[in-house]
Amino acid sequence: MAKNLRLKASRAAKDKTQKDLAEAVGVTRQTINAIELGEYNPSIRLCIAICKALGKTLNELFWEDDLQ
Amino acid sequence: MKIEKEKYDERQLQIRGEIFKHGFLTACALMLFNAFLQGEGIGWANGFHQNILMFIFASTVISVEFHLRDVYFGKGGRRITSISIFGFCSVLLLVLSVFHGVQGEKFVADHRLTDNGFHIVGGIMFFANTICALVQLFREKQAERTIK
Repeated sequence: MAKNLRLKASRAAKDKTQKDLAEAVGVTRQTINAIELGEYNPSIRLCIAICKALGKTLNELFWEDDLQ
Repeated sequence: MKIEKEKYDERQLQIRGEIFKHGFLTACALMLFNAFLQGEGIGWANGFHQNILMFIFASTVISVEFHLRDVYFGKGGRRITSISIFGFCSVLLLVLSVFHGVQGEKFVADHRLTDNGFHIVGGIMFFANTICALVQLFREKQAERTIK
């Protein structure tokens, strides 16, 4: 699984640390780190929570064109 | 939208499930090995100590893996308090065992663990758990500082 650089960039644009985002969505910092590194495939529920916390859509953060 | 009903998040629950499987397999392997030893007439401790040590060993495998994969503590777990209590108990157990050893109590007699031997082996397992928790705490603090 590829790194999710869009998530990392969106988080940085909102000036949030991994810990801030983790607290906002109710998971651990390591889980956010694993998602950004592409080591963990989050559930749709968590994806939506992250999108809402960062003010982005699912497509903007998680859609991968090469999966089409 | 915040997901916080459970103590552990979804990734942690998934990993904990894998680790419990490893612990279960370890316990099964230990029981089979112990049954084989008993069948051959080889005893390494009294029956009570054998069972407790096998249980503690399987629990230690689970705990150590929990620590190393960072799923021991859930969201907002009190790491330092838990590690301090665990560390204090393990050191106390080890110090008491060594103290009794110095006073002349044997750790092994007739190729079997004595009460004191049982305490020191248990203490070593608890201590290994504490060390892994400390290592993980250090790694986590470092990661919090470096990852932006």
